[in-house]
Parts: sequence; structure tokens; C-alpha cells
Amino acid sequence: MRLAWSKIVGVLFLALVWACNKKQPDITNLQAPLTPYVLDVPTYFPKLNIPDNNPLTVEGIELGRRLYYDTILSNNGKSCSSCHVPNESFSASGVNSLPHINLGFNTNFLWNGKVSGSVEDIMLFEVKDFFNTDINKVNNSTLYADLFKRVYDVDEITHYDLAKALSQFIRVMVSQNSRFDKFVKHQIDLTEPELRGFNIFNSEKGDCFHCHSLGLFSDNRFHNIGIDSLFSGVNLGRYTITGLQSDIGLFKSPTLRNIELTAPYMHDGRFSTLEDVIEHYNSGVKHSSTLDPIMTKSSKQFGLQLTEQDKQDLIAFLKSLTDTTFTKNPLFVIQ
Amino acid sequence: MVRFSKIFVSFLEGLPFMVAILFLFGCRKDEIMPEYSKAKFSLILKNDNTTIIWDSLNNTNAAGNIYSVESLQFYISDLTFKNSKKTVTSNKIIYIDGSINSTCSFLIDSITPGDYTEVSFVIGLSNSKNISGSLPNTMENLNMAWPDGMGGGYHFMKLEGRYLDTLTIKRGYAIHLGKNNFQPKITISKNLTQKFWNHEYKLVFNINEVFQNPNLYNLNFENNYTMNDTVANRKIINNIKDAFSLE
Repeated sequence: MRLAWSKIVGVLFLALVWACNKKQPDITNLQAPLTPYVLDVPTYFPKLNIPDNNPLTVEGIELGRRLYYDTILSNNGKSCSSCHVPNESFSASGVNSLPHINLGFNTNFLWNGKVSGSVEDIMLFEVKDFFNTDINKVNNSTLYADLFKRVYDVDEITHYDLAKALSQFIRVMVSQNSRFDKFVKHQIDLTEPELRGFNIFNSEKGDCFHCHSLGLFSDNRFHNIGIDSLFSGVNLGRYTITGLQSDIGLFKSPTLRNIELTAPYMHDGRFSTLEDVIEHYNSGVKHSSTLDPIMTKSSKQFGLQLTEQDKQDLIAFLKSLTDTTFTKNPLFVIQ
Repeated sequence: MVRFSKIFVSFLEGLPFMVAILFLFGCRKDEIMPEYSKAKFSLILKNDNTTIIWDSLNNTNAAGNIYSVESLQFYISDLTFKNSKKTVTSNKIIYIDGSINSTCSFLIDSITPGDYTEVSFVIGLSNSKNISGSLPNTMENLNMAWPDGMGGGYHFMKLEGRYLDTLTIKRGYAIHLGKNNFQPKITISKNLTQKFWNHEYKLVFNINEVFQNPNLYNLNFENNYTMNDTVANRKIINNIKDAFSLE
């Protein structure tokens, strides 16, 4: 009996020792929670889709911004910002890249729609296929290892993690502070020329609104606007992706926001000025079998027939879409 | 042990009575039936008896125009089930893009089960609902806005494609409807029973009817672009009235 009691006491003692030796939680791993970021989007914009596995956080956006300007993503010394320059509304004149402005709302990407889906999908394409990012290089960076651990709690960074961080940054790149936006928000009046231009834009006279839908000033769809009648190479447009004859010469409608800052124009930069662009629609549309039905209406067979005043007014309106608070926003640029 | 046996025997004696009670109440379905049931509509696009093939010049309308369908977007609203005693109308506004499968079927979940003789709906939105900015903006319906300067609200329908003109040259057409008082109102007379459980209907849109009955619409001679053309709009609206059927 005595022996039994001593055994029980012994077991209890061992249990006590084991309990006391139990490793204490490492408080250095307990980090402050990420800071949620609430994005202010005007009511006249579409709903912004944010996937559950990539909510906006201050830390995630900052990580995305850092990557956006970092040449670590490429193997040729370039970063996203090499072809998406802030002063050019995050596009680049030399390569005719589409501007990164309100891109987060889109579901079709690149001029020919090579990628469709979410922002994560296009960013994954950019890092994996366009940059061919050496993921080991990123993993070997102590800075990025720490930042990705903090934001996504990952020990090994993947291409998809890079895409997620970049997507957070892209989603907050919202332009909504142009003169036109202030007009819509009843904060200012447009000038007479701007207003006349708006009326041309948003009526049958100019018929711009069908493809450059108000709000984003793009319909996220593909059109042949008659800049060619014969097609080859890059001018084949969406056909190079789908292989459909009906897609020959179709390109994604670019946004017109900050159009003043994104010359030259069209997928191949063939038009140097906004005047050139307007003149194309006014008198230069070329017929082809895939010319957009909107461009073939009987009343427009001989172009828009705009007066010089109409053209100037239209350009005045287009310039009212300029938003330099976007291109200079400290959240988007590296000072 | 004896006591348990007595209870068991009593239970067995009462069993037929209990079963009868359960059977009786179990048959009173009217007390457990849901007040509303769901009607699922699936859109089928046809050219008379042939299913539409997108982007293909293989359709011929009554005027002899050989044409294709490249884009079809429209709203359906005020969907109503009717019989001699009651009318049930859904508040739902449905956006359809014929090229996006997920938008080509929709659920109406507020139909009272019963027999009906008529289903009706509006293509587009009635005047009171056709207000700029009143519908949630989406990337899909972004280009459905109807300019304020032209009356505001939304395009009710966009049907676009190509046809061969008299010289067999491909030309585009764009049937756009969207002005107030120019909504096609569709009425389909059909005896149908909306069951207590979900019921599926095939909603067939015969595109050929857009160009005929009662108005022969020859794309070579009529306006191939109808936006803001009230004469063309009226013709198309009257034609569309017979373009839908239920299967």
C-alpha cells in the first residue's frame, strides 16, 4: 500500500515537472493584426470584387506597391513601373501599355484580352509569364520573406503570393477625382466647351458612350473601330487569342480616364494626338467584315461629320477626365 | 417484468389508432405546403426551329436578309403569372447577356403554386423603374446605360450582328431599344401548373420574329441602327411581342 502511494506521488511529481517545462508560447511570433483598408469607390462605379483570400490591408497594399517598383520581379532590370509610369497615368508611351487606372474593376485584360478573370489572374500572368520572375530571388530576400510572412503568413513565397500582393496595390489605384467626377458629384460645373463636348460624347452625335461607358469610360469588351481594313501581325487583335474570324481586328476598349496623359493612342500608338483620334472617328473609319456594328450605322457612313468646334469641345471634355491627384497620389508613387 | 409486458401490449393495441391519426394529419398537405415556390427560366435563342449559332451568318429573316447574331443583352422585369383569379408579379429585374451562360437562366422565387393561364413580362424596365443609376452597376451591364440627354435610364435591349447587304457586303446592324413608353410587353398564353417544388421553364426567344410579324423589317431598307429612331423602335417592339414562347 505504501509502495502504491509512493508511485502515485511519483507520477504526480513527474506530471508537475513536465507541465512546468512545457514550452511557453513564443510571444515574438504574435504580431499585431493587419490593418484593414476601406476603399472609397463612387456610386457610379461597378462593384469592386475582392476575393475572400486577399482582402485589402494597409500592409498588403504597401507590399504590393514595393513590388510594383522593384526590379526583383524581372530578369532584365525592369519593374512594373518601367512600362506603367506614374506621370503617364501608369502607362508608357514607348510600349503602348494600357494604363493601370481603375484596373481592379476589369475582368478582361491586355489589348487582345489574353488574360481574363480577376486582377490576381492578370498579375499572376505578369510575374510568371511576362517577367518570368525568379521566385528563389524573392525568397532569398530577407525583406520580402519578412513582409510576406507578415501579410500572408507564408514561409515560402510563390508566384501567386506575388500576384496577390500586386493585386492589392492595383485595386486601390482608383481614379475618381477628375473635373468630370467633381461635376458628377455636384462639386463644380464643367466649362461650356466641356459640357458641349460631354453632350457630343454622350449622344448619337459622337456616339462614344456605347464603348466608353460612363464611370470607368470603358465597357471591358472588344471592338473593331475601323483603324484597319486589312489585318496582320499584332493588328489581328483578339483573333490571335480566340482564333475566331469574327475577332479579327478587335481590341479592348481602353479607359478614357487620363487620356490626356497617355499618348500615343491605339494598341500600336499610331495616333499621336487626341486630335488625330477624333479625326479618325470623324472621317477615317475603314470598313472591314468585323467593323463594329455601332460603327456601320447608315447615318454615319460618311463619318461623324463633326465641326471644328465640335472636335475642340470633345477634346475639352476628354481633358476633363484628367486626374493628377491620381498620378501624384503618394499611396501610388515612390517619392 | 409483468408490468413492462402490460405496457407493451397496451402500446400494440393503440398502434392502429396512432397510425390512423398520423395518416390523417399527414394527408393535410395544405398546412405544410410553402406559400411560394421557385420558377427557373432558361433562355434558349432560336432562329425559328434552329438554335442560334453566335457570329455565324446562317440565319435568314422573313425579308430574306442573311444575318448573324453577335451580341444580345436585355432586361426582363415585371414577370407575372396570371389566371382568372389571381396575378402574381415578381419584383426582380433580370439582366441577360445571351453570350454569358450564367445570365441565361434565372430564378423567380415568389410564385404562388397553382394553375396559371398566362405568363407576361416586360423587356426592359417600366417607366417608373427606368431611372439612371437605379440598378446596381456591374461590369456586365455597365454599357446598358441610356444617356440622360436621350431620356436616361437603361437600354432595354441590344441586339447586334451583321447582315449581307444587296451587294452581299457584310454590314452591321444594331437594334437598340430604351426609351420610356417603348418597352416590349410580352404575353404568353399557356396553361401551366406551377408546382409546389421548383419548376423549370424553357423561355424561347425566336430572333427571326424581331424582323417580322406584323412589320417586315428589311435591314437593307429600314434603319440598321434603331437607337433614337422612334419609328423603327415601334416596329421592332410590335414584332418582339410574339418573339417569345414557353416550352
